[in-house]
Amino acid sequence: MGTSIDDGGPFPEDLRMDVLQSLSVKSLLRFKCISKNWYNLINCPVFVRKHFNYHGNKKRPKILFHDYQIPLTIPVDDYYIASYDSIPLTIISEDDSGGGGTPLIENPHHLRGFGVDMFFDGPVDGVFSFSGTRSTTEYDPCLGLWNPATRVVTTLPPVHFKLQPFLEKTDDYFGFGFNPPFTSNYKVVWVHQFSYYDNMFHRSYGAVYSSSINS
Amino acid sequence: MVKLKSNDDKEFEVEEAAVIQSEMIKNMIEDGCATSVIPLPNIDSKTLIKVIEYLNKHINMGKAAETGEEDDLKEFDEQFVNMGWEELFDVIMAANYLNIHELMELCCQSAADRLKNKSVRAVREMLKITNDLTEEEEQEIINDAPWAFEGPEIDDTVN
Repeated sequence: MGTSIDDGGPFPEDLRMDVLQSLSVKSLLRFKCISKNWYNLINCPVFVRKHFNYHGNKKRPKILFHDYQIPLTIPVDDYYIASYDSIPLTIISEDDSGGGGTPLIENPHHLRGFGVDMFFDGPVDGVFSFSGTRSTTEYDPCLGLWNPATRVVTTLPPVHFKLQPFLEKTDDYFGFGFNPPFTSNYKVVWVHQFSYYDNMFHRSYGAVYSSSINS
Repeated sequence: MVKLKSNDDKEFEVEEAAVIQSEMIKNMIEDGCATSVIPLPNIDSKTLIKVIEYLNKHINMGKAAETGEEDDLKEFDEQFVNMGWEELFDVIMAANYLNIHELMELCCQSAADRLKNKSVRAVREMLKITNDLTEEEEQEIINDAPWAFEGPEIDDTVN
């Protein structure tokens, strides 16, 4: 059959997707290096979704462990957690024997430097959102998205709230999701709550991040 | 019996019960378009013989489960995919064209099993793919996820 002109290998693109969809994320990240054609195929949203669905259908629920002095076990779709420097997170998939999909992760070092006191939320289609503060002494918030399968961390651009001077920050909340579903466009909504001295008076500020335009 | 004709003009007779595992031919028979010989312009006789071998073996899938012949079928499948890359691609394309879901799945999984954990160099050589990325582009991809290029499981052999 020989090599075809597009240098994607000896068979058509849609069939190549059928072959590659069962491979692990690690293999696929490596195979981006094979040729331009493979790079484009593995990056294309159609393939990404196909791959995710292929593994998603087979997978049992995953558990996010977070070792915070007293070990905690929390079903990941519930929400949660805070952490210190070493970020002792473990993701366990009950069905990782096949080697596909999200790898089992322990102490994800690639999350270091994105903040302390981290809170996680998610996952939505395998992606977690987190918030933390970059410094232990002053409030320097950092929000981001984390995909454990590809180990990609995206930080969100900083938001500057114009505050009236008498207000001080008391709390913030965030949530995220797809909008609309299946467009691969994540939205993160960040609500800041500020209060006036003794919490008698609250005022909330909101910010919305959209991953498709990165702002 | 249903007659199939390969693109090198060879005719094969197959039992209807076997051949209707192909969604495409099943539809043709249901629509009454399979009265004489069905020409298959995309499939050569060598590949068609393999496909028919598979169809005949899997003719009584449901029955196999009852009589405990599943292991036998599994063994057959393992033997069946034990073929060279080019032959495997030919069967995948034939299975895709004829719309035989199980055969497609079997062959794609076999191809994926051969590729998984292989090094970039090994895959290029196995599939005869010419690298058209520049050195800089390649390095950039490696830098994006260096961990994907390291590990004891990565296999640089070509077989």
